[in-house]
Amino acid sequence: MAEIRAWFNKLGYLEVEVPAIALAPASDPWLDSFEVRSPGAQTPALYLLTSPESYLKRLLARDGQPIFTLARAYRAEPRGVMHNPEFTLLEWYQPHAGFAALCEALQRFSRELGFGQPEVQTYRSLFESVYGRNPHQMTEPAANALIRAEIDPHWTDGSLDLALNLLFSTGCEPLCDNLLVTHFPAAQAAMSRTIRQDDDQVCLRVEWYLHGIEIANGYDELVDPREQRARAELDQHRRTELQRPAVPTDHALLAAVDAGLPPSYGIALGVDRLFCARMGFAQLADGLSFTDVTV
Amino acid sequence: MATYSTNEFKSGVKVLLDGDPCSIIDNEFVKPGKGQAFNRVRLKNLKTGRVWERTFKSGDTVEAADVIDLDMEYLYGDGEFYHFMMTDGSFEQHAADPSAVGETVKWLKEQESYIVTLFNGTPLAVSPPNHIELEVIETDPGVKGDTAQGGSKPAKLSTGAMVNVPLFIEEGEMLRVDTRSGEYVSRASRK
Repeated sequence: MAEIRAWFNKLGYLEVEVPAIALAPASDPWLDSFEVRSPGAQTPALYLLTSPESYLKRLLARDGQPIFTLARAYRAEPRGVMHNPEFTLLEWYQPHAGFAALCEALQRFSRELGFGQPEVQTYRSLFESVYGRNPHQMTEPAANALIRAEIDPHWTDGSLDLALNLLFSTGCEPLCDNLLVTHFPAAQAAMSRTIRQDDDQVCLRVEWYLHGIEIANGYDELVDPREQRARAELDQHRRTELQRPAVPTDHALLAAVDAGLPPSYGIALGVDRLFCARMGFAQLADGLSFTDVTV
Repeated sequence: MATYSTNEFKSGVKVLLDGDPCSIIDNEFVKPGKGQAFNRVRLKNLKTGRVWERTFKSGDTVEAADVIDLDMEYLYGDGEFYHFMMTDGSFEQHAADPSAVGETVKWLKEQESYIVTLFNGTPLAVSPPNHIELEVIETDPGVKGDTAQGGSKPAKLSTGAMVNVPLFIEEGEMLRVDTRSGEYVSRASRK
């Protein structure tokens, strides 16, 4: 942590602290936030944040300067080999910088922390090298059939999004050692910009992997207010479709994007995973002092 | 009908897959951070003993298998079935067929206690105790004075099992044997 702080201070980033509790959680339909209530209160629930993203973007819209934070983040999901319900996120934002600068920043960070220079590969080329197919042109039945052929003959059909995730994390991720994977399918854009490249709909998202584990993910941030609103609505719509709990809209974030976010990149990095990679631990629990809480 | 959701999957949970009872060995929760999570699960098919790897979407449910492990005493074999009796005082008897007994047949000894796995009330598998005491019924004559040296010879035990024993072991002796490795452990007190 001291190393990380020193590095960002040297680069001129302002360290900020933001609340862990908010009025509205992340809208991503697959992210579950813990709800917080005062005992006996009739007021609506508050949420423990799954990442400091919203608050940081509001600061970015207001001040327009490079910022970073080391924040506790919370996700209401089971513990996994590389998941804990509570963890530390390093998140930083660089205004007036694009996708190339984003990749460069992750490479510099990797070198600084002693992991060396990461290679860069697109999602498509990695996927093609494993499965011989262009993931961006795949249909839902084809992706599910590929799972049955390559991974589990008993697999029952899931959405295209889920099928690609399963294929990628089973066949491709284990091969990613100090690698930056770029240009994910547009459906996985989250809060990154999407573009059309060689007839493929992709997003300007990059993930940094060490030993097959995703350590960080960066976005060339979505700054278009209309698109931002459309994605928030789509997320709410999908929540209803999936019969998952509806959550309040993050109006403060939408207002910040309306007011004007500078073109920026943002990176979120799992500090616990980074620590495990540095120490050579095979599971997150090895790097944690306490593992009492399970969800 | 009882079901288990993927977040209840843990080692030892018994589920029904393709009609076969399976015991979960381990369950890895995988969340790619973009979209629905899934679970990589390893299960042991309790019928065949084979290990299966399956991938489930997180939140999927699977039917629970009516499988229980019970302590029972082995009574006798009638040439077709092997008969066991509950040791809980109920004297309830269960007949296991050769496929349920499987490899355990070579460790079957009357009045010894076994774990019988019942699936829908019928014996599915029989596990022997980790250690069992059996009599040597056939082996080459013992070599006196060679107790310290290594060296071993095959011996046939009362249940038909063959184990390698030290050279000094004689016919009629009781041996303690590890049923997991099929190896000789020590001499046992004479009965």
